[in-house]
Amino acid sequence: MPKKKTVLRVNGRQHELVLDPNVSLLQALRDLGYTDVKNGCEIGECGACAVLLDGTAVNSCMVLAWQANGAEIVTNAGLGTLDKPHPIQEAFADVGAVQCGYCTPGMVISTKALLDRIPNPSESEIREALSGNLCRCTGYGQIIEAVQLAASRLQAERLAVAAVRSLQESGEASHRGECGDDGSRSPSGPGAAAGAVAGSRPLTGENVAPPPAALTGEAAPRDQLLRRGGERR
Amino acid sequence: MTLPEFDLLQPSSLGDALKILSEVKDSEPIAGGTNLMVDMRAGTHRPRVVVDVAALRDLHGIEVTDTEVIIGAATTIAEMLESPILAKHAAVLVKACSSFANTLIRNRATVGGNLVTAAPCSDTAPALLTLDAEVKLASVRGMRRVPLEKFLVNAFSTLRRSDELLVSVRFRIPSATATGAFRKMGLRKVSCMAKVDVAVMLDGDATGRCTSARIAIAAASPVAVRARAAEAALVGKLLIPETIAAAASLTAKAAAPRAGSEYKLRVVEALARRLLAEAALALDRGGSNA
Repeated sequence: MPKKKTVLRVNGRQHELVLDPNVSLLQALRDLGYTDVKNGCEIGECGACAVLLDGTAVNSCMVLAWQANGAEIVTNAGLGTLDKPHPIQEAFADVGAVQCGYCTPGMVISTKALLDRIPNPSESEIREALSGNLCRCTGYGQIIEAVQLAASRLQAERLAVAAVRSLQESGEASHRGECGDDGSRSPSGPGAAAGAVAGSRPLTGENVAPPPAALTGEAAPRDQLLRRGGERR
Repeated sequence: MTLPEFDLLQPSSLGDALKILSEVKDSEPIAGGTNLMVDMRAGTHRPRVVVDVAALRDLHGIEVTDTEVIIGAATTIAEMLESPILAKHAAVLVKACSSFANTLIRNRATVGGNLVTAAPCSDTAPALLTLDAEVKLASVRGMRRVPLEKFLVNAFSTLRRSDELLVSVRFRIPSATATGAFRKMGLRKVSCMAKVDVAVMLDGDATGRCTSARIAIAAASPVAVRARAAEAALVGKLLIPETIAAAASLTAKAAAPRAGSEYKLRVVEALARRLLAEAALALDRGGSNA
């Protein structure tokens, strides 16, 4: 069983690995420290191991690591961090769509895939999109609500970005050659706030997140997680 | 759970893949992996060499010619769901795809894999049977085409030889008036295996007489089958409730559920009656190319 060099590009980071052929993408990701990809059923029933593979949500337990060679992989942790969560992650926290949390990374990934395709999904489209993700705690009600909230926040963010862009463009038109830095800080709204932090990066939610704690040796900021939970109640 | 040991080969062309399948003993193709990965973990399938055909260009894409629709074997269920060609010419197949497992599985599972696995509860098989589809098998010895009805031999058994790869499935473009319908009954709305699948395809003339009828069932017999006697009972007749009821009852006769699942006979009959009535009504309104 000869090993082979495989390149996994995860959350914008490139990992050159030498892997056995029988390693699933799920196993490879978890061994790399991407433990936000959960190992649930390993038979494609639960969706806890869902990741984006070149933009498509798939069960990583069903994919051989070699089959993902060179592909762009995004996990839940790649969408945002505790300090700067993705609007989808924020919506899940704010609505209380998380109880034990085991299904959440997969739910977030399926939600991302849905909202990339359909920005304003109906409830049935949401249920359809999450049909491969099982939750044994919440009864799905709050999860659906979280997706709806995320959709409306992302919509607001897009409008804010569009407003910034048109401001910048009118600024560039009148001050040709000058830096249009002011425009990116002016308007209010969630998108604008994130824009100020993110600097010049686009506000698409695709911004590359730092590698997982297991790789950098940083301790997970659990206290922040707890505080966030406390704020809600 | 660690997968059992195997060697994985990733041929870059169809020719290389066929060469491996013919020369390497105990080799098994993998595409979406939604069946094989489960079977290998469970230990029910232990290929020595796994041949990754998912990325082979020749196995992808949905095309339409003047007379036929051709679907590459590694086309995913999700791709079929979004295909304008299938929406136009094979709504019955799109309907089957929409009830297939769940969104995550649909993004990986392929039509070729679904047919080659030949599970009794395949959702694409009954829909493709009503389209009178045939599969194309390739090997280093050449190509051959086999009607899907013949290809599906028994539960988990097909006419595919170990050195062959299913490369595409094709069917003639249905007439502009032909109308299909599909229904799956499972334990849940989504993410479940079929307890019963019924698919129908009817065509008729201006007088309301049935000119062609195809009915297929899955999960109620060892493998998806056509209900030929029921079809014969429709052709040449006016599609009135009595005729439809008789055909539905004959459809149930084509079913052969396992002991303890006799209820499926009644489900098949009821679904067949409803779907035939739906398709007859749509035909009456001019047909929908479904």
